[in-house]
Amino acid sequence: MSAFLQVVIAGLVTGSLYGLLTLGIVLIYRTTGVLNFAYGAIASLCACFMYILLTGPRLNFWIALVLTLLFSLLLGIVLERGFARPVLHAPVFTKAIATLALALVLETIAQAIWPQLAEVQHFSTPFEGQALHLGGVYLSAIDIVILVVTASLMLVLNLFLMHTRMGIAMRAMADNIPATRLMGASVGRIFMLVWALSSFLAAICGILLAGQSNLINVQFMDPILLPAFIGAVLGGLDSLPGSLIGGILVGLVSNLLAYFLAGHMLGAVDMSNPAIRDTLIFVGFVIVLLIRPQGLRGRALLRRV
Amino acid sequence: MLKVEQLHVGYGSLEVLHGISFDVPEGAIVAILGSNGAGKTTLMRALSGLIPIKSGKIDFAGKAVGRLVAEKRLREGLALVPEGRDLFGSLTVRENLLMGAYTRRSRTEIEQDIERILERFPRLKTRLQAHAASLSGGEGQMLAIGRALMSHPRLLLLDEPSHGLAPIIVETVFEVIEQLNREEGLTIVLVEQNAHQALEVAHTAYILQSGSIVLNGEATTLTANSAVQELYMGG
Ligand SMILES: Nc1ncnc2c1ncn2[C@@H]1O[C@H](COP(=O)(O)OP(=O)(O)O)[C@@H](O)[C@H]1O
Ligand SMILES: [Mg+2]
Repeated sequence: MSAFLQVVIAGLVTGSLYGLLTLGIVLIYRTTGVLNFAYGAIASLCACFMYILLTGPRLNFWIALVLTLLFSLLLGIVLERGFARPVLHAPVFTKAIATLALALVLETIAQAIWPQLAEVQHFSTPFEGQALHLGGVYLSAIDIVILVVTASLMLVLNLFLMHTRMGIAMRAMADNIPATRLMGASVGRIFMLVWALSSFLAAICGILLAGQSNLINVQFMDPILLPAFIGAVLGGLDSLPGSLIGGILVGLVSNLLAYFLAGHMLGAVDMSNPAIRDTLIFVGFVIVLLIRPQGLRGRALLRRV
Repeated sequence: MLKVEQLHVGYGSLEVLHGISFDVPEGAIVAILGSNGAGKTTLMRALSGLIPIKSGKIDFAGKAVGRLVAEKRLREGLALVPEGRDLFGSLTVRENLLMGAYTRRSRTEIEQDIERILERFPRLKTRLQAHAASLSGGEGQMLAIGRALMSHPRLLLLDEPSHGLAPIIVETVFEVIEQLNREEGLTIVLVEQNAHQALEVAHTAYILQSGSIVLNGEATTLTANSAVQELYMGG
């Protein structure tokens, strides 16, 4: 029982990180129409920036964190101006492809300025090695931090999106850009805020993930991007709460699969191989899409009619 | 209040409006009538700043606004109720009204205005927390008008407010337009295919055909005009 509980908790931890990434992806997609495959690279870049602050000038962890978050906001603004704005009127597909190029550019730049990060490095946090034992369940300090940070961020984001003037305007823009302009809202400014906000979320995810594994390099977020996108599509791609649930679901399923597949063989195939698990998730995802092309929630499309 | 001179507008190399001129005096209801594809929506988009003008002048309250972006024109007091309403479907009715007040700051004034709009459109009162996408056509048009009023416009542009509505609802919509003009002194430009009803509420009217104004005059005169009757009022 406690082993199972352990897996569920691990699933929630991974899932809440996916959920946060998914939220950032959907926020950008819904408001600016960019399916952002560079999201992992943005998260990596920010986490790498923090690693450099920690190891180069040997800044205190918290100071480095604050500087990195400021850097992420700035990065979001620069990317909006330099990348998203020029391709604004391109078709969705073209923009999505352009983000793949952007990811490559970001990773290449990071690798050029910080060549040591081409290799895997140790990313240390004040929470390293600390853990809590609660009735047979083991909780590492970083996992607790992840759960608390993601839960509070989601709460704050929800309050922001539901109750502030700017939050409502972001949702309005996701519905109808010309109508938002007719309300006197400067769409350019909202775009910039969306990119700043989502790259802020990416930075937090990147730092939390690097903190969890204590490992980092310029590409360490790449494998995370696929499950995050799966979560986004499962959530219906245009619903913010849906995306969150989609992300958490993928994290949970992935950990549960690992648990149930562990030690099983199918013929000569070792089912506990992570590649098998990823394949199963992907196959499951395709099947879900075949049955419900609009994602699991599936109200979003109806609303459009 | 609004003076349009030699307005040329189009999409890419396609010119849709070929030098339109008209005048909207303060406090008037001016109707612009034309059949499908005449360029009515293009004119509304150009007036509100959603699409750029190729040449010509748009003066509003003594100020040249023809080159201002849409957000700035709203701040000058020009509000558009777009064709097909363009509500924020996933937002609630209340949030749609709040978006209408985007340029305004005072929370208490905004709440008072929401109250006033709900008094004018009582059917919205019970739907305040409903998603705008779930509204009926009539409710949706009321919300679209209410949302535009939240910015305290000096001139209200309405693009086919009767489109797709049941006849009885159309009646109500035109009553609302007349009331807004009479009770609040709001200047209104009304674009319609429904010439019959538009001419009943309008003071003056312009007939738009293939991007040019072919006829204009007092609403009563145009109502009596046999060519107008034949073309736009079904004989
Ligand atoms: N976004 C657009 N791009 C290109 N042509 C357009 C666009 N919108 C409208 N048109 C063309 O402009 C002409 C006038 O359209 P519109 O202004 O919508 O007329 P109306 O509102 O009077 O029905 C039509 O021929 C239409 O095909
Ligand atoms: Mg039209």
